Amino acid sequence: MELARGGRPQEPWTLYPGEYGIFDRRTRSQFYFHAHAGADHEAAHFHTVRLFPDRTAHLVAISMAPTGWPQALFTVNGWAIGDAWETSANLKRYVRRFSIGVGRGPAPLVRFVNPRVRGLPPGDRGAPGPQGKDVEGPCRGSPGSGPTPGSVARSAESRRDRRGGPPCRVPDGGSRPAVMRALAFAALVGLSALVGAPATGRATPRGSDPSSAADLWSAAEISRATQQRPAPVVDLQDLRGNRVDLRQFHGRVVLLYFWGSW
Amino acid sequence: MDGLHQALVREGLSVIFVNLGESRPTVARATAAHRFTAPVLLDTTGRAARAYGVTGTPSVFIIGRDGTILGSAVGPRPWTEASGRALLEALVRARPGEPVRGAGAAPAGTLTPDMPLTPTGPARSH
Repeated sequence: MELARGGRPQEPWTLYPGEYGIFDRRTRSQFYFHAHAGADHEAAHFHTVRLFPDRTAHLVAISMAPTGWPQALFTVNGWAIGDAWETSANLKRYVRRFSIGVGRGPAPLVRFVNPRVRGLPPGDRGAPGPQGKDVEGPCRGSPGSGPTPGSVARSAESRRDRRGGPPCRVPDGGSRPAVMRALAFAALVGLSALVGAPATGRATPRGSDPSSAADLWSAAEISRATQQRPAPVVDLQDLRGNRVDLRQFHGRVVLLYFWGSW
Repeated sequence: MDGLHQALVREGLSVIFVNLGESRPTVARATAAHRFTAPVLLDTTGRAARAYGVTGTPSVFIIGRDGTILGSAVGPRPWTEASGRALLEALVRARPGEPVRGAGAAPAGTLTPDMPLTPTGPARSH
């Protein structure tokens, strides 16, 4: 967690290591680390994402205990974070191909996150992928690292984690806690099951287009409007009760930022 | 994001935070924690979120000097990194109707003409 924050103090809602997390444009994989204010069931969590030009697909989030141990995997509410519904096949492919290249961030951090998502040991040591064949049995987390009541949504595997089993190893850059690989598989299965029914079968995302690498919009990963459309009215109160109308900002460039504190 | 507001407000950029339906005390606490200096608006009824078709957070819309939507993004983006700053500074420098240099090639993604501006409900929780 210290690595993820880059030595900076933990502040709620702040994204680490930076506002963009760590993004590998080659594989269009991203992760970022943050904590919610007032959350007492964990210290913080990693979000893992496949970020495509036309869509975002959150994979699993890795919940971290205050001791620095991973304690659970959970999925996010697609409705809340704006992901498109995906087919199970797409999600499995996204997970299988999630990879942050060495050099995109602190090596131990990258080595920690990559296998948590892919269900593979660091270094691709011949594991068959997230189909479960390589998943070992559950193991115990470190003392006090187990999830607490009221925690985030957990997989069946994380509940099993609290009941016992061989101890997990600390992810020190070379080791691989088996429980997280088991959790990765369980979460993947859960995720696939969740999205299987309502999947709308959108097309496979486009890859990055090298010819547009210099394009400012593309470089910033911002979708550019294809037609002129007036911004809908925003006429709301601010925290002091003053009325603020977007039209007051005419003549300025505005970043309208919709957010919530959850 | 608020740092961008502070850095570019004199150049003609404003960040407006629109909170999605939380109570005033909750938003006040979060605003203090974030140390926002830009305006924070309360979309208590979800009216603005519906008008923009917001389905998740953070959702960001870039509005040009002429009041038209130039682009959008859902999720973390490099707003304060070099690529994000380069785009925003180019937009701030451009005059209305003038194409942004370097931004005329194929976009990263597009807001299609049938982009939903229909009610989908504000984001709740993840």
